[in-house]
Amino acid sequence: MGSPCELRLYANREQNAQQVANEAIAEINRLEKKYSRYRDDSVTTAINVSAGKKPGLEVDNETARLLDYAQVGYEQSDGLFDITSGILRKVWDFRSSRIPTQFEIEAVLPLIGWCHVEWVAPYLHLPFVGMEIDFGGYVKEYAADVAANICSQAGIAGGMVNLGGDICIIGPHPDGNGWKVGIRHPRNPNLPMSYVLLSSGGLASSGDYERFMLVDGVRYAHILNPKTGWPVKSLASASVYAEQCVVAGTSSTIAMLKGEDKGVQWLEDLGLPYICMNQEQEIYGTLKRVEGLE
Amino acid sequence: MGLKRSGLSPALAALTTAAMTLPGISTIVKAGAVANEPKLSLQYTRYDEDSIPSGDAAPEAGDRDRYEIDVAQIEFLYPINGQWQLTGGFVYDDMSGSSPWFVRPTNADGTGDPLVVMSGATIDDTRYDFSLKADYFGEKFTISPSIGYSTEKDYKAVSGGVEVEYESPNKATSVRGGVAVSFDEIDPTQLAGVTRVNNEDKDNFSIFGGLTQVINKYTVIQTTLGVSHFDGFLSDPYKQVWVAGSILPDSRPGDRTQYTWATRLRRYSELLGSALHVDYRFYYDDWDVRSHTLDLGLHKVTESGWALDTSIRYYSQTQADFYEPFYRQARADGEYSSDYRLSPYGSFVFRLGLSESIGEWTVKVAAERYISDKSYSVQSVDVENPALLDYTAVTFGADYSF
Repeated sequence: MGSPCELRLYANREQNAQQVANEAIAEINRLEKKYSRYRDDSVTTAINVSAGKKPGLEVDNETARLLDYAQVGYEQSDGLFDITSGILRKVWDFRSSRIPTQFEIEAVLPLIGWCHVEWVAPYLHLPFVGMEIDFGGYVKEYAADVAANICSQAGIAGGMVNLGGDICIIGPHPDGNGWKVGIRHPRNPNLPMSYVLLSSGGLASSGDYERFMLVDGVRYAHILNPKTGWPVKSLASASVYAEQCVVAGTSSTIAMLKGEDKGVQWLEDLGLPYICMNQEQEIYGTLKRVEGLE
Repeated sequence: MGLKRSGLSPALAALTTAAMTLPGISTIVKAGAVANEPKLSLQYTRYDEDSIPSGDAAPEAGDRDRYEIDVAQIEFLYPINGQWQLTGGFVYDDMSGSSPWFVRPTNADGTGDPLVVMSGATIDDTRYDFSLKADYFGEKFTISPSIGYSTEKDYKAVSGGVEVEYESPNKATSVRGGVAVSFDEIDPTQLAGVTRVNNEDKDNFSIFGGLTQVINKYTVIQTTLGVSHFDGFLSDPYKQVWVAGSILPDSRPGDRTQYTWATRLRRYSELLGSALHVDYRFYYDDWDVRSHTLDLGLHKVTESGWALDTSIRYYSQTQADFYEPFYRQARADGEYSSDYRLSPYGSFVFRLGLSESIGEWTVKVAAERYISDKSYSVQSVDVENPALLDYTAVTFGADYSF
């Protein structure tokens, strides 16, 4: 998945834990392969290759449900959560320290917009050659949910799945205590900005620290508005708790895309517990924090 | 850390609902999901009916040993593609033993306790049952047509049906309905000196509708209403009745309409790490038989991988309006039956099952004990049918997923 992942389980027998862990890891690997945009044999590549060709592509049930989910995310975020926006990375190279020109950005904007996509399950048609979709914005969170679910179904009562900071709790420690989860500090990756205690559900974070560049003292992060093609001036990070990690992830992504004020309002309206840090490094939110050190 | 349930925001509701339809996230509702791999299930069950106690049998009763039944089942599930799935089944039954023939009073003048007379000779019969079911998983509907054929020495039955299930887009609600028909033909083995029918048939038409609702992550409730109508020869050609000193054939009305209402509740308890089952069924038919069934069960998967199933079922029924253990006088309508299955009684079933997955195999073993008695009935019963059944069953099974 391109980031450190961990799976922690409690089971009576090591062999049993290993067997369940293997199943969960196999499922995570399956999802990564299936939706990787770097693999020639992935569903994502097949969809993107079909762009501009009638009548489009028939997709499997799992992909169909993921596309339905993307549609809901698009509708609920007024078009900010858009799985066709990945193509912006072709003009925004955050390793280059070069700001693209407005001309370059405007050249790709016509290829962005879920509203252009013809999606009538199970048929997906991307109408323009060069149009792309990318499941990267939520498939990792989905994989965390699926892996946790596999463990629960196999009878594991305590454990957690952590896929590069997207966390899904299988259940508390055997003594009933929750898992102490550190939330990354957006300006100091080695120091958690706070800890939360979780016994169930999912926690996902989004921030301006994942990919960014500083040009003339201005921070340009990968939180790109799909309508303008420009980075959004927003929170430094938003972490959201929800029953499903995928919902937590989408909610935090949308909060980042909305900018600080509207983003916080969005989280308040959702009623989900959250914690965020603004550009002034102030921490606030409704997710209950606990002391860091034992 | 629960979510604020009241006033759930529309955006959160929409995202959560969409997330719950993602395969692999929703755990409880499995309906409408085509299996990924072919699966073979093998099962063997041995039923051992208790002998009739000597105090309940007439001196001339004959062999008091009741049926021993061996049942072997094979089922093969084959997913054809993402939308179609076929399930083929075969059941082989082999039964041998005696069965209650008729009930007579202790004394020839119609007084005294009822006593059972058994079928004279040991009965041996074999039944073969074939079935085929297809499931079509459409965008919104699952449609499942099925056909069946069953045959034994003196009996043939063909059946068919179709079930349709609609699942709401959020998968929290599903509505199911179906119809089924069967046509049975009986050609009883004749016995010198006993009047038995020749070549009779009966037809059945059934219809049902039900609703399943996922209440939350832990709770599912299902309720179903059904009506079933039988028409034709509904008597038991091998049973007789004692009527004022004469022995007459079992003779029941030519049609019967049955109504059932069943509700099932499944609740997962995190505290117990188990799923609890509470099932209740009410039954009524126009022969005036009413019954209540309550089934309480617990399903637990232990951390070592064993699955434990245990349940208790309680059942109580009233008698059919024309039933008597024996008849002191003839009835004007000519309807007679002393079949213990139409008598008033109550019963308990105690069941324990264990299963474990080993690689591609799941092996199962289960045992159940069934006991019935007039005293278990909800209402008080004056005279118990002496042929009430008790049995023990043991099942061994194995499933293989390819």
